Amino acid sequence: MPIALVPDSPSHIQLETFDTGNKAAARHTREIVRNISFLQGRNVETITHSAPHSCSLVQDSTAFPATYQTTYEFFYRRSPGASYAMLGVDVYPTEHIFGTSHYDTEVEFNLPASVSYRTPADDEELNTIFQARLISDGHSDQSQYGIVDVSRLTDSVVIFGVTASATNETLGSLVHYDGGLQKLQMFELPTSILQVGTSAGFSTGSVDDTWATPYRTIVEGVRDDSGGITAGYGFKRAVDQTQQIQTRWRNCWQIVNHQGSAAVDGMVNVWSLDDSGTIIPLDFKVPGVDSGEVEFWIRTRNYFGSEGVTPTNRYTLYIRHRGVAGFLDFHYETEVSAVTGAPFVFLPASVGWTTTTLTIDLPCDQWDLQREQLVRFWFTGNTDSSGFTYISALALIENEPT
Amino acid sequence: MTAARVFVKTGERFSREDDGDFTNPGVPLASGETYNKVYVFPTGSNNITDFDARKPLDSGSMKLLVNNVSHLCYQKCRTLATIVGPGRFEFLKATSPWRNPYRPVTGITQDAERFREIGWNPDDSIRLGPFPAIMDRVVETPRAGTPSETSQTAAPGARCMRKLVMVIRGYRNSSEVYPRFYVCGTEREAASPANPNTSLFQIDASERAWIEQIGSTSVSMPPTPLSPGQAHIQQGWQAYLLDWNDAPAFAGEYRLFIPVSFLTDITTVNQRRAPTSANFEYFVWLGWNAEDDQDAIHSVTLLEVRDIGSAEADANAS
Repeated sequence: MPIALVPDSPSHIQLETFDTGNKAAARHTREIVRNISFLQGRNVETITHSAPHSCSLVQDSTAFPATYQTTYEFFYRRSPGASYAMLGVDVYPTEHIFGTSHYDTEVEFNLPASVSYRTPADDEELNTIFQARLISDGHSDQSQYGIVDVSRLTDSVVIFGVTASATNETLGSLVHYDGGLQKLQMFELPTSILQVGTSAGFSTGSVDDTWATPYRTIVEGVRDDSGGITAGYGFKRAVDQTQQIQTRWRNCWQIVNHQGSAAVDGMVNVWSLDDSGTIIPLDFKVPGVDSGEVEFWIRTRNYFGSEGVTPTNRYTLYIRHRGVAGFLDFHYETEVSAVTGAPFVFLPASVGWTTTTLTIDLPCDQWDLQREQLVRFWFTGNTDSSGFTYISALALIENEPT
Repeated sequence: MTAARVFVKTGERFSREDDGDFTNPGVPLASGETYNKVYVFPTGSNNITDFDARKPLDSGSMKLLVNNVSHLCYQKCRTLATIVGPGRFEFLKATSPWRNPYRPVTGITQDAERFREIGWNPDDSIRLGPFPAIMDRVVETPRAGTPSETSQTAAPGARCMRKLVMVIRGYRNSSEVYPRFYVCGTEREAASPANPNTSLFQIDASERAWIEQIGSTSVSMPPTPLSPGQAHIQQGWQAYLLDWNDAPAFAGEYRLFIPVSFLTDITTVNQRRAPTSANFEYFVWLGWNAEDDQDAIHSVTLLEVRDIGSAEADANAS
């Protein structure tokens, strides 16, 4: 696995080496390509890293049978060129839940529909890097899902290949039996820049740097993944990939919760809006805490803008919900300058779990030495009729115009 | 207290119009020269066709492209983790029949007057990660005559991981007692920070944490140095210890910002972990304790940032 070809830090480029008015040299392009490779190969995105309290069954475990089962769903938009992703969970020891009795915890995960499973090759050594179980190891059936038994207080991570070209949001899920989860996590692995244009999954995000060497001319190259020897080659490719990084490698904030069971737990630990008739905070079911006091942060990215125009960073809010119709308000406030907003979205009634989205432009130019581009946000809402609107996942995924 | 000047040497913006006395410029420019907010390709354009074969490429255009790539390196900070809860501490105590009693960890001393130990179990800590590390900071050579820099422990030239900030939304029930937070980092092998054989990352103790009391502008804790847990140093590892002794007394809701800056030379760790790979993973732990079980943590967010909380930010403390 040619990891060494991927820079593990960006290169330091002196602007003084660029003498405006003179011709550019290939030595200039070399560092550009190396930095693009760094961004695509190392600066990968976290899809979700969520640890809601109600992920765990500990609080109510005495009321549940030992074979309790629940499901988590999460949103995923594949970054161009991403070849692998990791799904991990931290598990409570069952002794911690059931006293001295010990049960294995079993986790079954289902890949997002648009992502196909691929068995990592032996020489890719992903298990060495992350000491993770490959889903081809042990309990996997080599298809779209895998099952992992966890028998102690530890983490268990699984790695799977993502080879589909789909970049639209899609849902993956995780079914959790017994025991208790403290955390679930998914991120794309920093191994996406291994090959150029030779196989599906590698060609969408990479730049061949063999042309960008000193004493060679700058070649025009091709922009797209046309395949063959010229794929991912030349100056146009470098420029195109720069734009792709700007628009399609997306910042992602996401929290997920289990979807409960009306029959077993009465949905008591599922996030909800109730029919109080007034706008109230989304109830995250944090023990002993008023939901109005739960808030989150994101560091927005200042990609676009010009003098005289206030730049913003565009996101799409994905909401996984069911129950009666309702409204969800997204409140934000910048840590610097206190720029505020509160866009909202209507959540239609649904018997099963469904997805609704809201486009949000967040401020991204607030800056000081302490709180650079930090935006705080929180949720409120109300239902449209008697009953509850349940929410199991909230994802704020960057969605800059392409 | 040790201090090390670590700054973003690469992937830095070239300049800012509002630099002020910003002491960590990435690439120096001549006075008055700015390239911030200059883009070759603005939104919606597709100017790749502007680069035609057989025509010379102007170095000025390359300058802008370099600026854009550098700007992307600077801006691509990740959102690493979000926690809802865990909630009021009374729900995490050992009094519940289905929880194990609190289990002291061998070898860690405690301040018995006010705090119980951190057990680093699910009742009083949470582990975030693993995260793939990004090492785009470099320890700078200390400036002569600057004690805080010449006393630094990290070697100049060492490559460090990207700086993080952990933001805690919490509740303090009484102005008489206060919660205490520990933050540290571990490698993969570490089952717990309490394991004395665990190799942990050296933490930059010159970083500053600060608190905003919600609903009051009169009470806040200015950026205050974090102290390494002394008992823990004896075991060869460090953790941030946020000590509120110097903070104004208050009760109520607060936001706590804790910078997390690891100074460990990543090369050394890589050799230990996976000699053939430049990939590297790490965990961030948050442990807490409090005498008042009505205290609570409502939510926690862990973000990559650039220069939050550095010693250079002291000038902006007030």
